Amino acid sequence: MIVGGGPAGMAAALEARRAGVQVTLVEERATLGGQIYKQPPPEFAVRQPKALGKEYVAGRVVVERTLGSGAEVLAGHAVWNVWGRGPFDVAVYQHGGTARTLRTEHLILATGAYDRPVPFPGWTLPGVLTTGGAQSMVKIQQVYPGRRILMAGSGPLILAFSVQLHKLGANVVGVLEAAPQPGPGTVARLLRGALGGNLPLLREGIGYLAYLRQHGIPLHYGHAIARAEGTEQATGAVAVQVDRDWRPIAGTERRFDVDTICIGYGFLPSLEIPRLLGCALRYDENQGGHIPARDADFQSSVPGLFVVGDGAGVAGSAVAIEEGRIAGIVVARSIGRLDGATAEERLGPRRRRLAQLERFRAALATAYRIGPGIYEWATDETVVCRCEEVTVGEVRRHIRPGSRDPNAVKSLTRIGMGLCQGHNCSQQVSAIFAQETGRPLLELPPLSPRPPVRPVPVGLIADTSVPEMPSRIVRLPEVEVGDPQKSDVAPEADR
Amino acid sequence: MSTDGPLGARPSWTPPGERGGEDRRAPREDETDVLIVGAGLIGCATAYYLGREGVECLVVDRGEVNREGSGANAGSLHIQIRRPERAYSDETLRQFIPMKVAAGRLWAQIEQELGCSVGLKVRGGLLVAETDEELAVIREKVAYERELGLETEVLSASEMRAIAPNLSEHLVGGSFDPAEGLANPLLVTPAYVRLATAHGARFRIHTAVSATEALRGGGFLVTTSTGMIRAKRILNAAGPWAGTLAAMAGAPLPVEGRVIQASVTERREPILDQLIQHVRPALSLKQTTYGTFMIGGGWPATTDPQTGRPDIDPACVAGNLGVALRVLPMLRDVQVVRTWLGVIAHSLDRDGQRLQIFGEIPSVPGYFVVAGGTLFTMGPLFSRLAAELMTTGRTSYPVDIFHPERFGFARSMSRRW
Repeated sequence: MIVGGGPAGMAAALEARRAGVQVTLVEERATLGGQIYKQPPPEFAVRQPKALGKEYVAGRVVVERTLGSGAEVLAGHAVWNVWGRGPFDVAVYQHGGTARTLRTEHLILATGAYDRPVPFPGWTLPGVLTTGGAQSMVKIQQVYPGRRILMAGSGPLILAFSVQLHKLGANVVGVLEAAPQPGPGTVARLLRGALGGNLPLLREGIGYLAYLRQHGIPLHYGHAIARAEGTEQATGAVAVQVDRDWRPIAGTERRFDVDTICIGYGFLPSLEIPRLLGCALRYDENQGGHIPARDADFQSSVPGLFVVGDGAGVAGSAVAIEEGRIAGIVVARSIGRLDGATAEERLGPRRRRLAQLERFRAALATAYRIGPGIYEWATDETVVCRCEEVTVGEVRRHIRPGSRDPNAVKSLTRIGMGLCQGHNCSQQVSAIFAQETGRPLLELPPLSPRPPVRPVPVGLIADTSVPEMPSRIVRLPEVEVGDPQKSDVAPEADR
Repeated sequence: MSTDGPLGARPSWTPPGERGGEDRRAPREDETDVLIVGAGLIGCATAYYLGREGVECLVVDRGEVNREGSGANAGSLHIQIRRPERAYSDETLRQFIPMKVAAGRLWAQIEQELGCSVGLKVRGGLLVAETDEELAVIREKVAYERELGLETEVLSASEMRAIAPNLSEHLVGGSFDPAEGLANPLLVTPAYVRLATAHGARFRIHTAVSATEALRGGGFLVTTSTGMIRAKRILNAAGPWAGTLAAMAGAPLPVEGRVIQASVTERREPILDQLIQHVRPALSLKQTTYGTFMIGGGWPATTDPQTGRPDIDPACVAGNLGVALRVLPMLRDVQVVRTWLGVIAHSLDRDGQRLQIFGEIPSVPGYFVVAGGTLFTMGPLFSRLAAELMTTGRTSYPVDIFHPERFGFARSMSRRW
């Protein structure tokens, strides 16, 4: 079973189907495609496919192939819980429909990533949106955000999207890139990374830069968004020069007269299911913070559980596709659908391509590394948890000296307890916690995962036929009372 | 939406000027009059009630404040007789019921006492029946309760829906106790911490006790992971770990931790005021002051076969939600946002009654225990009584049914109804 119908999930499905493996592909949206290949919902008729971008067109082909591959495609189905460890029981429900539980020996997670939420003063104002959000508006609803747009972010995607928006007729007045202007060293590294198969990627990036120059859209290196102005709606933006760590430099503020601010500081992997299943994690800020530890086949520390694509660490769709393919092939091999030699034959080119991509990714990660200053842009008055409306200052005040676990703040402030289930704030809370306690961010446990991983209506999962609660008693495991490390048997108290 | 916003009257965590205080500069050997082990509701509340009397307290916890049972319980305020209590002897209930009544009175004015909102809603509790047989049990129970001084009454289906109009039409009736309700466990303990701190109590978290030595001539020398502590007296408020901890002082007690689970939904407009319980399948259901629905009742967790650790049992989530849905049909399209595990302490007295343990251990003078299950409802009262006992040697209610000596030789008992 594969969760996620973006590039990685579809690639895995296609390779597994090619080897004759029975595949069920679960996708939360009504259509396959994921973020990058984002397809309009089925009820939309697309008359000018090219206007939706080349990803849409390329995606259309992959989607059609996947749909025709013989894989069972459950589109519009959300996974709300997974339990068991080989076989895995995957509980899904259809929006507005029914719920059921599917059992699988091998589970490939390709759940993708979501826009990194970056709190700064004014970030919750209407008119401030993420590139992902803006992209959805344009690609799906074909609505243009705002009259005058300031783009703020880092990395190739903010460039790509600035160009895309401008081509679609939007008025992009400037692009803020937090990273410094690439010096000769960085350029050389990017070039080296691009050699051996990645030149098209580099060419693409250079193309974006040329386009911006041609159309007189200023690109401000070493600048970040300081705040959005306005009360009911964004009426302006203030940018500020930042140092190499993305910390604002006093006295360098400049105002932009805009009504829309589009934020794109990268993505965070959707980690709910790997964390629910207790996968070992590691930390890489540039790939989105905590990410699952994986072996060369992209199997996690939980046997039979594979994590591929941006959901395992943000590296873009090209990497996602190769990882998906490899996982699909490895699963086919492990259940005997492919013999070792055939599998190796298919894996070889994929691994080589991935190694090439990794070189480029590493070079990009150096050029556009996330500066630790990003966690300091919010002020004490800035709301960090939008669901429960908790401010940064509120979080700070509730961190007790000596505390080691951000979950303790959660229970005091309700932060992360809302409908978004902590998606939009947990990273920032951990960062504030790290600042306050002096503990390194990478050592902090992420807010505890609990099912459901997606909100699920009571009526879909309730069993009204149970006459009585089971009398089973689950005792606390024996714990060393004297060991402070072994506390928190019930690590979470949220409501 | 609730008018009592989440940021409304939240207690501040550490008083101004206290930041960066005791935790980092914990001395190698510390001294205190009373050492309280366990920074849950009991430990923190008792620190306040003792501090108010001028008694010096140091509270230590192996983890953080208000986790485990104190923070993970569902916040129900139970007063009327519940199923486990149906096995109690007449003698026990005659002593226990007046304490429940007193606990209810204490809760009713706790926000005034604590000086802040703790998500309190005391609008009564309904124990509902789906069948005539279940209603017969309720009638018998209420007759008995009224004899013992509880204000419960039997309500017909229509009377019940008059006060809780959204309950299912198939319910045949229930019992109503006006003193029942709910509060937010995540706010209650921190409020006590703030008051206790203001009265001089100190807190040391991530401080685990590994040995307790009773000194000749009185007092204790306690070994912890952050240094030695000398204490004149000890209050063991370690919840499920109270038994193990007491054993260190030479007085093992039969306390175990049991892992249960509960669920919470998204916020909705307020439509339910009461604490709802079911007479047969376990259920506690209420709408918090935030508008979320808390659904629990003690359904057990499961054990992960691979790690041996407690884990959410999806079948019990489904069953628990199913009972809630039977009782409150509008829950059908309300979204569950989280399920979680909680631990409850469980202790049986020598007669097999599931009771809290309260008092000084006779063989270890100066060593006090307050432990056992359902201590959220009874917590503020037991904490007050503990402070009374430790300052005056007496309590304003008789507490001999909870005496530590009555625990340890449990035999099974049959249920009354």
